[in-house]
Amino acid sequence: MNAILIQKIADAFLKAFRGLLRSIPVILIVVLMISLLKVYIRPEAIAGLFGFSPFTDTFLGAAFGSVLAGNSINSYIIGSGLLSSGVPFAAVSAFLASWVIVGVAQLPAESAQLGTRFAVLRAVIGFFFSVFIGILTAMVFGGGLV
Amino acid sequence: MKEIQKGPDGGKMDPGEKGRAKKDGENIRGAKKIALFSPFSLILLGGLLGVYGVLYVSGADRFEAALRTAGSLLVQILPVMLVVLLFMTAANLVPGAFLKKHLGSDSGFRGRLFAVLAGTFSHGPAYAWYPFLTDLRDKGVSNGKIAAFLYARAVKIPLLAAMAFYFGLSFTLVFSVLIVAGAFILGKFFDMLG
Repeated sequence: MNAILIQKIADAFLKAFRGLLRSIPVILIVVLMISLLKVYIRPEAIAGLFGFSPFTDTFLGAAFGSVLAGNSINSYIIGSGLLSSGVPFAAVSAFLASWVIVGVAQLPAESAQLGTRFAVLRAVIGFFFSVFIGILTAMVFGGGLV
Repeated sequence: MKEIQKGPDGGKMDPGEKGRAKKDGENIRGAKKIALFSPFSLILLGGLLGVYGVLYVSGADRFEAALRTAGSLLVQILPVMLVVLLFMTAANLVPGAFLKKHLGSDSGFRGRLFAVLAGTFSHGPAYAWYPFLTDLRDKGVSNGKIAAFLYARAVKIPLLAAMAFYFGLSFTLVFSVLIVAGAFILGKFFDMLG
């Protein structure tokens, strides 16, 4: 009985290990892409790119959040910096949401593992969802889109 | 005489198992047909390594910084990968029918609630979880539950205090509630898409 259980666990582990091994190129792709984006896109330069209408800025915020990647705490630091620079609240909120929800750098990996249709649809819907969250939080906190 | 199709362990294979075996690049007798890595990911990885190669040759000063960032990211995700390996092993021990019943497209509110809770409590980058999610989907977990899990990951329980520090407690609460509500609704939407 015990031997059968151990064999089952060993089989399950080997199958899991093989699945994980298969995803190594995909993980390396994301890591290399994120590293390139981190080095070549300077967060401090982003603030200067805002300054259109608050609505356009909200879309811009979601777009930057989608492209930039990394630990969420970095998005908080950049986001609070953007707020201090006068970037609209809705734009910063959309930026924070899309940072985790979208992830352009992860798109090839998500496509390879979960299917292109699912990955692209999830990213596109996630982008508009982030914009919606930006607008809604700005409305809740009284400032509207300003 | 009709030949009985047998799985790698010698037992009979159900049609779902046959489908998965073919998808995994194995024939129904368990022999490997194709390589472990998908050609698409290898081409993409080759292209990226090419970009790094060009940066190195052209002497771009940011090449080293990018390489250091990549190294540090890999070190960060290593413990997460070990956790994912444990989850994948556990998922392999759970019968597909059980997962399909509780997390399939017909599992309803409870399935979605579980996916959203799992998403908010999951740790590490999303891409570390893709192999596990792929395994789950092969076992019958619906796209809606996977989408709900991935969307709900925008709420980071361990980082709520940090978010409140930067943006205030009321913003953190409203933001988190909206994300969780959205994960529910979008999960339902993906389930409706099939």
